[in-house]
Amino acid sequence: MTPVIQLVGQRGRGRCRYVPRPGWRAAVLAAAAVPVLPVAVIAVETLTPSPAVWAQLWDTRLPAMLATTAALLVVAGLGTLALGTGLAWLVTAHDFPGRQTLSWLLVLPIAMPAYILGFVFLALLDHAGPAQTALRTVFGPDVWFPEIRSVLGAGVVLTLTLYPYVYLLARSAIGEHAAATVDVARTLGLSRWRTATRVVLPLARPSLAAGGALVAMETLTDFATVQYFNVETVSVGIYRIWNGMLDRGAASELAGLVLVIALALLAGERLLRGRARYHQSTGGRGVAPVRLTGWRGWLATGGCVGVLAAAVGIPTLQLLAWSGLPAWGGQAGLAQGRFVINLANSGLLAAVTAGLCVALALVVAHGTRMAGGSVTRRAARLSMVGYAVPGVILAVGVLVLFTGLDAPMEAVGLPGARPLVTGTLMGVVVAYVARFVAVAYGALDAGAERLSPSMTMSALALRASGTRVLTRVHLPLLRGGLGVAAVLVAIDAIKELPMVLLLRPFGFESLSVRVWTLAGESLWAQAALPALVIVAVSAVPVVVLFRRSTTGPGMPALAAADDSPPPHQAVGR
Amino acid sequence: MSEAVTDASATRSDAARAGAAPPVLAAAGVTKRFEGVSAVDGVDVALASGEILSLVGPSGCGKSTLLRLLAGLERADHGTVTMGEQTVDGPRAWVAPEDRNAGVVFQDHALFPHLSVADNVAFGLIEADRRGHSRRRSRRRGDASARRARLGEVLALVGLEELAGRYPHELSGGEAQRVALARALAPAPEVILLDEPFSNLDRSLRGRVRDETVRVLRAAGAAALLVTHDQGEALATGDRLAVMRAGRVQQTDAPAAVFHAPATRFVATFMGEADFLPATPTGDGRLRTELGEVPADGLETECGEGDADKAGLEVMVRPHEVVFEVDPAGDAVITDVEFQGAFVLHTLVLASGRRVRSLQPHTVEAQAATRVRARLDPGHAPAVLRGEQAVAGPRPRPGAPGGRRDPS
Repeated sequence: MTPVIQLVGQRGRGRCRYVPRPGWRAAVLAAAAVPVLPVAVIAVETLTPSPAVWAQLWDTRLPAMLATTAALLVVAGLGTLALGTGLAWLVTAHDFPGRQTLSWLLVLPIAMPAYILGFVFLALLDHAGPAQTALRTVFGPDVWFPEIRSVLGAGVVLTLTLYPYVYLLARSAIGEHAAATVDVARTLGLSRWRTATRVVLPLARPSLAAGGALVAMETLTDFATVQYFNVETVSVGIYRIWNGMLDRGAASELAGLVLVIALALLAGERLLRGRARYHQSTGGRGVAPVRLTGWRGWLATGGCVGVLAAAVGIPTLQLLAWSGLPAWGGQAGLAQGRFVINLANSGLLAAVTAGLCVALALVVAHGTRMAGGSVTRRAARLSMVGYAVPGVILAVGVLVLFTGLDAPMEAVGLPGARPLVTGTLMGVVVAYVARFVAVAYGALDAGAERLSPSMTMSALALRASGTRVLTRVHLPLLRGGLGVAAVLVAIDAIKELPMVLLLRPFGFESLSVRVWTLAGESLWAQAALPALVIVAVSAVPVVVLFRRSTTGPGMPALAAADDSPPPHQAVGR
Repeated sequence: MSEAVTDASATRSDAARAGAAPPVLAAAGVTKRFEGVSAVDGVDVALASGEILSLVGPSGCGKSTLLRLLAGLERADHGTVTMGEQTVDGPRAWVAPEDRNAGVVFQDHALFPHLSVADNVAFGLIEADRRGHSRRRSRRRGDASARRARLGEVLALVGLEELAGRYPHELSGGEAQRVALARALAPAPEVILLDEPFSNLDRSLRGRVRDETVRVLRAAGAAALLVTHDQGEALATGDRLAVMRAGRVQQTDAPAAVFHAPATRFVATFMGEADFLPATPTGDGRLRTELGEVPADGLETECGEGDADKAGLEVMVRPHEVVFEVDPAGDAVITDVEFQGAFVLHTLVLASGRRVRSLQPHTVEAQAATRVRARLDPGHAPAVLRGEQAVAGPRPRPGAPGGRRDPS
């Protein structure tokens, strides 16, 4: 549930075509190798399938896993598209009590990781939970209630936590970019409803497709939340196979399958988008909102508040209640001791990841400005691939890479790479960096708006060498972005669950691992405190977003590693 | 900086033999392609010491790319760039921009927003001194005071002493332009490259800033290449003027020569309003046109005696060279009158149906549909073209590439 991050920033701001500088080009290529290699390894696995493994997989659970994955993708995809677009249309084209505040509050669920909302949801709504108990007391023991531990249940939780991706993109598409077109449509005599369906929706389609793709990637990678709901997707299969059998071959074959599904979804997004591009008109006033009066207005307010209550309010209150309960007080000493260790582990992991990601992003940002040329630009774009593919692919890719390094390292008398990945945090860190370097780059690049190509060229013409340009011009100008980048990466690293679950050394527990383990054992009250910490930390960028939203939606958005400019690029420029 | 020049000319005798210092900056046959399209296509251009050369052309003609090639911000695919005696870009030579001695002023001024005016201007001084340190580490203290002195000198030159402590966002457009110029001049480069430095300024401000820039460049003694898309600016600024189109330099000459004796039809129409009238040689060194006879300097040497060579000639006519008087019996008709303030532009249709324009002072007031008698009053021999190329003009244009055609 990472915040959406702007990835591609170079285009449309003057092309940098400097003379080749082999040193900086090599540095960019090296930085790009970190995220590219794990994905490439899995891609190669996909191209060289081993029939025996597939036959075995097919005989066991694969068909069912595929069907479940598809069903979950459909439920979460349709759910987020409907909820995200609907809410975006409601807040941009209508006026009702509390609209301004609700318009940004509706982003808040992005801070609620699905693996936390999921267990609160279960605790409240499952057979033994207070909701069903209450119903049974009133209507008797045979009262019907939908099965919570199902694809539908998991889909609802994913929808509630992932819809902000669609909401943010749709809101900006409708609110800003469509304004002038809507005015034209109205002057051409289209009714309000016809304008919405014939002008606004088609205009927003590229943004909706991008949002849908993001949701699909998150859904694909999530094998933690869905396990609460007994939903066995392909990613769950990877985890089971790796964790239970340590079968690297089967795990990487399945990861290859996830990659194929991800690529198919991205291709679908392109197809849906067609030749349309994100529009970036600046200074849009937005669609003139219609005032909803009386009960209609309050209904709109109620709807927004209801979504927020379900996704954030009730779960947070429940977590607060649990963490104040004496239930875990009995084991307070033990629990607190472990909590501190988990907190330290998460902090360490976040700090190391943030530092490395910012350093790599800086190399890419500076390197592309120094060494132009298509190779460097492509490498820079490729270095964002880690954020565009499901994290589980990166994790398995890192595993495969380290295992591949094992034999050569032992051959030259080194202890081998396998202990590095299974015995230390190395694997987790590499996978985290591969994934989150794009987040750092996005934040850095958003901060680089004051840094025009001619500024770099001026510094060069004033006889500053490449390193001096970095220290005297680029670093001072990127400084603001550096801090934001580090904070965003650190938050993402604290929230992250699937990759650390797959790659953690034996006995290592971060906050997120702890929450998941306890929740899996239905020890909800004990999971509450670490969960609250994660939610609080995750809310930081959303609050920052609100600060920026006075000038426009400052949350940059992910435009997967392709040519299209990010949808929010125009903002604040 | 002058040291380098003396050193260089001492080591090589070629320049001395030619009787002139080598150009401070020269491109020879420079070509640059982007994705297969030539942005700069075999360009030769040279800047003499202290010379100001304007480079003008329509958008996308490759003039900015040429500037970046000269600065070392792009590397040429073919050809060489030399600074003094040193080849800085060539098949086997490459000097990075930071190792060249060329200042650049960009259209957006590209001031460093995190540095004050003084720090912006001192930026290049610090870098130059750092380079010195690798050889003479002991001079650091002396450097600082020398730097301060130079900073004061340059700020005084552009008249920005009072603004030294300001930051770029606190400057007006004209002030930012002066800071950018001062910053480029501070390390005393032999050549300054200016990429449309005035086009971000208000029209009312532009002329003044331009004059001021030329004054500063002259005072600093730096050679300068001024890239612009504004013909008026190109004609008004600089010692020489190069006209570029589609990656090629079509003519390099003094501004007046480019205006009156364009080398090509493109230069004729791009550098000012121009109409063309068919002309036939009279045999006594003159040309007959529909608007009377005009002198034809140098046409005999250009054209042989054969009739074929005399066919297809046209003279270029600028609107201010066409005069007319109202005459009910005249064979030309005014079809359009455009009031331009001090002048009035009349469009005439001649007996042949051809159109010429006539620019007259506002005192001439002729209505549309008036019959007039028109004639040429060029004041000098007009430019004569055959096809796209000029074959004769008011005076010789030495060293104008693409200009006069060799008759062979």
